[in-house]
Amino acid sequence: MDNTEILRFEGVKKHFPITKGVIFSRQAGQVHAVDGIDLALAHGQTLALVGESGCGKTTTARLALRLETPTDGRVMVDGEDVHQLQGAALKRYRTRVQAVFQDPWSSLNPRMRVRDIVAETLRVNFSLSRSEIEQRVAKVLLDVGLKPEQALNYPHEFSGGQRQRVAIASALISNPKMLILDEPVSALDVSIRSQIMNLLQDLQQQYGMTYLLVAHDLGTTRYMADWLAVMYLGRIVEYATVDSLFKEPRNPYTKALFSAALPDHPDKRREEIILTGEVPSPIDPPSGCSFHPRCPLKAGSICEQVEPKLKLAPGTKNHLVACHLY
Amino acid sequence: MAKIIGETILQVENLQTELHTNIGVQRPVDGVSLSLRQGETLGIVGESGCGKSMTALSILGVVPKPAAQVVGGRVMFNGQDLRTFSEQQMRRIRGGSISMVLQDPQTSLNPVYTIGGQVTEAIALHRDVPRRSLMSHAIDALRQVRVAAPEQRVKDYPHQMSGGMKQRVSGAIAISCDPHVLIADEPTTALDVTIQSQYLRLLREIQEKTGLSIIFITHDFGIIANMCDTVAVMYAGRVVESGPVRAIFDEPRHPYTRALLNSVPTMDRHVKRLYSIPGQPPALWDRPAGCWYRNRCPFAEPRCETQYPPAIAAKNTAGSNHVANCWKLEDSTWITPKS
Ligand SMILES: Nc1ncnc2c1ncn2[C@@H]1O[C@H](COP(=O)(O)OP(=O)(O)OP(=O)(O)O)[C@@H](O)[C@H]1O
Ligand SMILES: Nc1ncnc2c1ncn2[C@@H]1O[C@H](COP(=O)(O)OP(=O)(O)OP(=O)(O)O)[C@@H](O)[C@H]1O
Ligand SMILES: [Mg+2]
Ligand SMILES: [Mg+2]
Repeated sequence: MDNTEILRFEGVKKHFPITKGVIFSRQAGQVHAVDGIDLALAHGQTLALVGESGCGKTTTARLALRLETPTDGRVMVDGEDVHQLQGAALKRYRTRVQAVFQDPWSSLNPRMRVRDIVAETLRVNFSLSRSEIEQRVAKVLLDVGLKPEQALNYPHEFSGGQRQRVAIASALISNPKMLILDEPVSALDVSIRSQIMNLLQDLQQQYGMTYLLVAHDLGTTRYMADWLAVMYLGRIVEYATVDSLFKEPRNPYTKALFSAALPDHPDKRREEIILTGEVPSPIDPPSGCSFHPRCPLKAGSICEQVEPKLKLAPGTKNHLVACHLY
Repeated sequence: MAKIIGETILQVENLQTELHTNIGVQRPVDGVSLSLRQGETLGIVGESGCGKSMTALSILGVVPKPAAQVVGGRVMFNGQDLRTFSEQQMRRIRGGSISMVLQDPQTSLNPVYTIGGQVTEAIALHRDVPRRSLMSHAIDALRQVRVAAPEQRVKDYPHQMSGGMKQRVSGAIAISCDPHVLIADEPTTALDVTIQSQYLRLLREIQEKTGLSIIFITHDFGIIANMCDTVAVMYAGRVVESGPVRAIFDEPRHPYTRALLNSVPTMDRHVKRLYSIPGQPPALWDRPAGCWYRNRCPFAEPRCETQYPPAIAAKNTAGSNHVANCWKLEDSTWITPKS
């Protein structure tokens, strides 16, 4: 494992146009799904993105996967702008970065055998013989705790947890350096969840992979991640190591988010910070700090006028926060 | 929090439900007993497929037909056995005294009717309200579940609402008839933390105001810890441990309960390695002889292979109705160790 950077976002924005009218369609506005994100992630580390539904976590993950093109800014993997890649470099990227999504029921093609689902990336990107492919498939199935014989089965013959293992196997087949995990365990029940989380931990240890993890369950992120980025309306509002963030969240939004999580014992009570008002629309985000209309700790009119930048929280070495209180 | 718990209102005794499949007759609910008092919240937990939803549907007599059928046991509600009720009597109970929020909110709201239409229909069916004031009752019900601008929202169709809002609307429908018992089947799995916490707070407020009794079906031990007074842990169609919520968290007697608790990561501290229960629950048609959990249990002994353990009371300081089906409880000091 080296400490060099594998993933970097530089001022990345993704705005989706909203069109009105069927024949003479015109643009009626923009959804600011991702609205200026900077982040960097080192090899072998796990960064988790958290935040309310609709804050832009999946869009961020899809930008890293080249499934979306940024409206502005750059997404770099191993020092290369992924949206400029072509030819051999693009092929290399496609084998190095893989994804596992939430839904083990719909993400696998029901008409394909597990062998073919798992081998797909290999077949598209490498010219390997049949027996080489079969060996490799058998190896990754073992890696994810399935039996090589199960390669001939179809997805419907597997349980939810097993299907998620198949999805992980097909991500692993090309020896990726980085996995993008969008809610990889939230559709699974408690016991399968812990099996899959432990599997992902073991695979990361074994192969030194980097994970970008989207998860709304805070316990999951604490268990899985080294770094946490808290997102609000398309922006990162706090960014720190998991230990530092859970020990002392700084941003008022992070505090409110954490306070809404359910304690893990009947005798524990959290002082819940109740946010009033619905989540503002990403179509017309508030001026200044986009959290100001709901913020219980508003510092003053500066919050309405000036967008706070991510900067080091006082007295810390690597805890970044975007808030005028700091 | 002012919460008053009264007499037993619902008592499920040895409930059995059969499922006819092409490989034979199976028992997804195999002798389930539960007890719920007025104003109390009972949590039902267990792995996927252990029969939680089927138990709820069996209580209300709405198991999927014709494959499934309730074949045994009693469902005592206010002193009467609901299993002896006619279909017409049951229809009055469902959505009346006992109401249910389904696992999937998409299926409980009809996409072709307005929200207002659906809430008024529920009220008209079960309450004696004059036609012309139905809509204002519906608006009140929506306001009660914190739907903003309910006067406008009654005109909306389900697809115009976010997931969280739909969930609250199905909640409004479920409580619009002033039920005595609410059965909520994973009502918050699709919600993010903030909205989930709003929804749970709302349920607690309604409970404090009306003395509603709740059966909460969930995988989430956070919900159990925060909402429930008592807990029933189900495994493979049976309850394997039940008791007051603190006893379940602090001194679980069944190894399965401890295993579930240890499988959940917490945001409050860093855990080096989560416990994962090896293997999977047995298939309905493939339950082993003896204890059904024994293949996955680190404490299994020879007799676990031959005899299904009876319910044995835990002797604990709480002096409560804490019982578990595990031979280990013959040693009255047994508490399943932490790891
Ligand atoms: N293709 C698209 N066209 C228009 N708007 C989009 C598109 N994809 C996402 N959005 C919008 O962008 C915003 C961010 O969506 P995104 O899916 O990234 O959120 P999220 O944080 O992953 O939410 P969740 O927790 O619900 O998965 C939302 O307002 C969403 O409606
Ligand atoms: N309509 C049906 N037809 C056939 N089998 C069914 C049907 N509904 C449920 N089952 C079976 O009955 C058993 C109990 O299912 P049930 O839905 O009660 O589980 P559950 O505990 O609610 O699980 P989950 O947590 O996934 O909702 C399972 O083995 C399931 O496969
Ligand atoms: Mg998402
Ligand atoms: Mg269910």
